Amino acid sequence: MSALLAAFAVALSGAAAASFTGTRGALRRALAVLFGLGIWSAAWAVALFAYGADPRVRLAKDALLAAVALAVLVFQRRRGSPRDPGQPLQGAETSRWLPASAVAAAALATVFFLEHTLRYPDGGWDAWAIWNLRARFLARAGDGFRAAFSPELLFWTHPDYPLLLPGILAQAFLLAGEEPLWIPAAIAYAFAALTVVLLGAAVRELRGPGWGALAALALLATPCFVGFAANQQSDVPVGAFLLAAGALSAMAVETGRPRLLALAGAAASLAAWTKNEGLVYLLALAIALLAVRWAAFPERLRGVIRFGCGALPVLALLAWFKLRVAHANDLLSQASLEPLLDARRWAELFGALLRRVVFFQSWSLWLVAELVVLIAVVPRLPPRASSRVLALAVALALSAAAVVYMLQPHELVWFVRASSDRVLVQLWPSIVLATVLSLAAPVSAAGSR
Amino acid sequence: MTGVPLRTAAVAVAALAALGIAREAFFHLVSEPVWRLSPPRAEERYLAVRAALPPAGRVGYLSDEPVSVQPGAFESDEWGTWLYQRAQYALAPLVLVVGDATTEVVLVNVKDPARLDAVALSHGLRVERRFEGGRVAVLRR
Repeated sequence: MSALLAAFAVALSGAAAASFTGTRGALRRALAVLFGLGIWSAAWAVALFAYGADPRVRLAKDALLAAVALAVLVFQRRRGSPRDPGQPLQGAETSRWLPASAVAAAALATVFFLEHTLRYPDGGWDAWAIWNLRARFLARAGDGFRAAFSPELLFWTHPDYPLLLPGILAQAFLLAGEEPLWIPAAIAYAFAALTVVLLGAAVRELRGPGWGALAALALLATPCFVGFAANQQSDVPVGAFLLAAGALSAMAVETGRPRLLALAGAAASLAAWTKNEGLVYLLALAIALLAVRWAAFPERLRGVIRFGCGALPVLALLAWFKLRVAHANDLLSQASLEPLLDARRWAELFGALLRRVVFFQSWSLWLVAELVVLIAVVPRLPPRASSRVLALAVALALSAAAVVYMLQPHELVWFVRASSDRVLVQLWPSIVLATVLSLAAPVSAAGSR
Repeated sequence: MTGVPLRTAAVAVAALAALGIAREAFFHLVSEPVWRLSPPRAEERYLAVRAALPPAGRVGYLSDEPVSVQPGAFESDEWGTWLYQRAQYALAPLVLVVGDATTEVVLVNVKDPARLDAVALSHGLRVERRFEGGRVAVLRR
């Protein structure tokens, strides 16, 4: 009964959020599941901190979510769809081998995911040491759940990290009444699959089906994307929410529906509720939406305000969590600005990052190809506002990450080696989206797609 | 040029994808073949000791291996840190407090069982129960 209610809460709240996008098909379904999971988890965090861990609180929360979402859906239906997207796009040049290749790559990625999951059923180090550990605390401790944020836990457990992923896992454990290994694995797989579908569907919407299949194929064939997904890292969910924010922003810019920016803000805020980096990406996207000239300044300003309004509820939760529950962040708690003036440290950082770009085991040749495209191809193409918004957001996010690398207390090269692939994989789906939006002409103007 | 032709992009992406998938296949099917056994799960090492510990609260944690407790100040060997993290993962919602020998019961987790008694003695504790051939134990004052 409670599992059924939870499923309704996820499905209906996601469907309600996605109903505002005016999309349909795979894009709408992927957005719905993503928003549904995010809202379900964030709402539980609110209920947990406000009313405690009593199972009736969870039940009431799910009932309320389902009821409100149902009301929103009824309202939306009476009001009519915000936009009739028309017939699905059919690219004249799209041969069948492109979607077939993407499907074959997805099947292979599933095999690789299963192999790694069977071998490491608890996930990778970060999964069991941070995310699944936190979920165990939340699911096992009952009203003593605040032990999950004890300052006596070593910094390795990162008690300050936000709770979207542990919130989903813990609720699933509680609904199951046990902690089977397949739950974290299935959730990790779901987020990876959602990312691929969302990327392919968003590109299909904006550039046609052939480009959509290409984008999905590129993501599936990125070695570390499958690896991080199978390791149950939160970097893939962060990347999924960030991609949703980027795709909705791009759609708002290209289709003149600035209301989508409120949903983009909501998606970005869910990225921030997944991992600390998400907040940096949210700010970077907001700045990019204001800075890139995709409309007159007052319209851009209104767009960013919409973005902020969409982000506000989850940001309020995040702010409360950071101020009242989470303890000092291990990366910046002892930071001094002095390393920023150290030229040798900057050189060391860029050297280490450059080595990751050509790190074949994680990236094959994708990052090298991305750099070639950015240097040799993109400058010869007409600038496209949507792509520039995403590109600036990614550039700002990477710059902020570079500053954090400089300030953090660990040995620099070790830390780059341990974390830079994760930072990049969070951004990678959005980078692929931005690249395709730049390379391919919009569907309305495309001679070939 | 308003955009790159899809056909051109498709050829490039197909080549890159073939390389990427080949790398994935090598890693998942050759480098770490599924038929080779994985190390035992953390759960197994701590299954028995769980029943000898309180269900929640603080429990002191001692080891014969150093644990990295400060960001940026790592021990030369990370075995002790890994051991602690696996124990914490298995025994949540207990909070294992590294180096604290003042709690009612103390969990000790050693790499070498021969060092167990020395670890207990050095903190004025006695070994109450041994598990896993003396690699894991519960200590009391």
